[in-house]
Amino acid sequence: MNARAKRFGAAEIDAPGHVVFGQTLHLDCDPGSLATARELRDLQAIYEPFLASRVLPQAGLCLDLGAGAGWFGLGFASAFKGWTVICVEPDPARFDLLQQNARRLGLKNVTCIRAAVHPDAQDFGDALKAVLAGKLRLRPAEFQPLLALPGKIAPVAGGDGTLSCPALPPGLIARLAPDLLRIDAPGAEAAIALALKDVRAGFVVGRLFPCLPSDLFIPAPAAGPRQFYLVHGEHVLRRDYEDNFPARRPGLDVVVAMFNTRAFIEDCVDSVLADGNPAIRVLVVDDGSTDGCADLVAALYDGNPRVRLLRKANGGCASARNFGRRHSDASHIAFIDADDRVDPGMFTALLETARYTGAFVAEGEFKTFTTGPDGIDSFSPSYEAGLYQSPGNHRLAEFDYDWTPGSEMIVGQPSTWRRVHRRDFLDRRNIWFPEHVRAFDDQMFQILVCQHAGAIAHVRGHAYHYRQHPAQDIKQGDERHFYSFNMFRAIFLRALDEGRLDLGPVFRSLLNTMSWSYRGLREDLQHIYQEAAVEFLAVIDRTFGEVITPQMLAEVGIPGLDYLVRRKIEAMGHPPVNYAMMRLESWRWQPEFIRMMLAAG
Amino acid sequence: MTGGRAPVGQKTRADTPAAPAAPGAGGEAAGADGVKFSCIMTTFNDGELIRQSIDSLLHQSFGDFELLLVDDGSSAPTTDILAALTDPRIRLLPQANDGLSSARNRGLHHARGDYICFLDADDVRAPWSLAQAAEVIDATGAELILAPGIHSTGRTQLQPFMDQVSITAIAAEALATGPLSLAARKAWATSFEPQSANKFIARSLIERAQLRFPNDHFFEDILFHVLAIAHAGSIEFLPSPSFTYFQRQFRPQLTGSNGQIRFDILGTAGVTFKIFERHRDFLNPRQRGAVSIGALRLLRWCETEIPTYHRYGYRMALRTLLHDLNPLYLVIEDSTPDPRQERESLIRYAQEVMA
Repeated sequence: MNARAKRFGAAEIDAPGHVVFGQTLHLDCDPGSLATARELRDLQAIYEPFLASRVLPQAGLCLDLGAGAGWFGLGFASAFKGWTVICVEPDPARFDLLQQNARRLGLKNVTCIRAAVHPDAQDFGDALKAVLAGKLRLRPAEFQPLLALPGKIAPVAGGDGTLSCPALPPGLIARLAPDLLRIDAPGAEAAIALALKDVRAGFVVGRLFPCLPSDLFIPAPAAGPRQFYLVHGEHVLRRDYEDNFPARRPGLDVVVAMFNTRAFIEDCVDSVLADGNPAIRVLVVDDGSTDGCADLVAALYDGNPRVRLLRKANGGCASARNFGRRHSDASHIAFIDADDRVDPGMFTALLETARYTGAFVAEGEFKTFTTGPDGIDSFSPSYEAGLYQSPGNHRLAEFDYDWTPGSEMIVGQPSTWRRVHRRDFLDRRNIWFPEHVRAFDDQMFQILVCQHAGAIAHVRGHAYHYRQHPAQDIKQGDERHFYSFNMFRAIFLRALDEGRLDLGPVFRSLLNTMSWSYRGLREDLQHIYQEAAVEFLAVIDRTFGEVITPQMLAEVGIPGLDYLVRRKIEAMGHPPVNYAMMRLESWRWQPEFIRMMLAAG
Repeated sequence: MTGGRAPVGQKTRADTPAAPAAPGAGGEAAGADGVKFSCIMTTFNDGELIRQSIDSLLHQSFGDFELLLVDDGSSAPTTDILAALTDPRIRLLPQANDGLSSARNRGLHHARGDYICFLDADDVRAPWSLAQAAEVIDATGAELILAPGIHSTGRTQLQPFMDQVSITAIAAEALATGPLSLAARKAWATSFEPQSANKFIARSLIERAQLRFPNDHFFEDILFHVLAIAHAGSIEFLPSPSFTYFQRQFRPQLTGSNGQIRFDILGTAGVTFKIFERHRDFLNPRQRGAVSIGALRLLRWCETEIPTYHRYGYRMALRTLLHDLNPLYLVIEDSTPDPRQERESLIRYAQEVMA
């Protein structure tokens, strides 16, 4: 028998030893049983990682609900001597082990209670305090199933001053206000979460057996900061990624950039509000509209705590979106268009998925629609409809989702509006809408988000409704199409800075954009666009080498592209491939330059 | 305060911003439409420094102006300082960090004054600056006014700003040949330091020329400087210093390191060359030569300032740029305004890079 075992007084007992919180613990625990295996697994998978990553105060009250044989609770009490630990375990056999172990380890800071938490248990006031103070002794009593008659789950005071309490009411947890709560209480999570809503409890860790609405676990502001880590299958509900942003409100702000969309804004805002989720708010940013839509919003949603209207001088869609973001205090943020709508419940699905997966980005599906002269909407599925046939490979409550590699979303149509982004992700990666870009600014945003997000949680069955109408920017074919060169240049420069050389999808996206822009462009701008594309592709060739094949160029649909690019490289003096070539600029790559050029003569 | 406005050529009085904010929308200045000057100031985390710059405008002896303060994504304490401003002549235009050029362009988009001027958020305007400019504008109707300035290095005595050499040379040429023609004025004006605080530009000129600063680029002034002069129908020079430039060469941007900022001259100079080539003033050899000298000076200086490990890449890109250039740019006649005698060494530099 080793020295450590002796120190724990376990020499004469055949108890297996396990390293727990930096010490070897010998507990009598029915080795080989499923219950023990689970306790030990959770210790490694949940509790050691959680405690290893927290800075706990040196003293406090720890409440261990579902203590089992005591691997967590007794281990904690032994490792954190300044703390008081209350272990609560309903199962009689496990409870016996728990008590034995506690006694054998001689821990002075542990109290064991045989009970379960049950939402229907009658509150018995301050009896527990008496228990803790040693005035009342808990008598191991025959366990009452939780579904026993309500009258029987009330504590029974015996004549000898003992107390039998097979079920604890959740309100008692609130009164105890533990500094650390560990939950392993199947079926009682919701009641516990509700009881904790307004209570100061700095650390909450454990398993969630049912998948519950995440908002249940977000404490009310008055309860102070709380770090929680609740594991549900492959998912975990946690909020500590917001640690560095103390003023952040847990929830989603949907930023609606609005410019002269009086006819659509009410439908848009109502569709976001429809699910009634108080964690989701709407931030309408009026970008200097002149059709009175801001006053309409002010009148419609006056007094609605879920809608906020911000007014600013006109500055373009990107500036309105950034303005909304800078005025948002939410942990998650989405940017939608003021003439569009969402399925009711889409943003709840995305927020839940984002919270439980920790995804930097969660996205819904989308479909396009037009409103006919008769006021009837007709919908068309998106091009993605064929790509996702089966239900998602992952399941979270009623939501199906898949992890889609960000690189796959780079090539597609810019569809930032169907996404929920973690705000700390956007801030840390410094991804903004480019404010000087007055059209298609979401393309750059999307590409940067997809490059940095890794994988995106693609949630099935909830769609964004993307309105098509003739006034939409993309149909005008003016010089704003040249902003694409400006944005792709910035994307490539950033990629060079970041050492990001997996640019295949970005090149494909560039060629798609060129193809699409050229086709839709006003005729008098097409020859400028052709030359702009030739210059740009020549610079890409001299920056990254021969990454774009003649075949790819031929498919763009700009006449003679391959030939002209080769001629352009010759005219440049065939410089060696060099990253600095991307620093070159052309007057054809920014609409402002083109306007200056046309004004020059 | 002089309320009257002198008739200025080609002024279009009915100009309004593209999308005037709805009544009641926050941030509108008291002066309805039309003031004499729109002063555009951009800031990115200038902190306390910005107070003296703002005050140098608010304390001007001439009061008919608006101050467009574009906040290029600052954080506290700069944002707190800006939020506490109450002068009704100030319009605050916030944006997420997008660069100096973008911020100045935002100011231009909202400007309502007859004339535009710029001041960096760490520089100072002389108390008489606007009054003096207004006087010359009222007397001459000039579309473009250039002004001398003061240069503070923070170490030695205050000096005249760097383009004092041009101002002295202009006076000498006027003494020798009589009043300068517009072509001569343009050539000399081009030889000024490309910088933004040294000019007052008619808004009608800016709109006619579609002048903007080059988004995504530093060294933004050379493009604006060259094209403002090219499009100007008339140019005047102010006698007294109009601003003080505090040596502070770069402002940090959230993206990109300072070392890489030097690359930006490639883009700005390249576009300047191309657009100026389209303008008829390209055929004025003295003015064209001044454009070359100004741009080549910056291109050469940036090569010496860029981090060593970027130097080869810089030179390769510059070489490509020069190969693609109209060769007339490298034919710099000796009548070109060249107050610092850089002509020959810059031609040699360009040829060395292209070799």
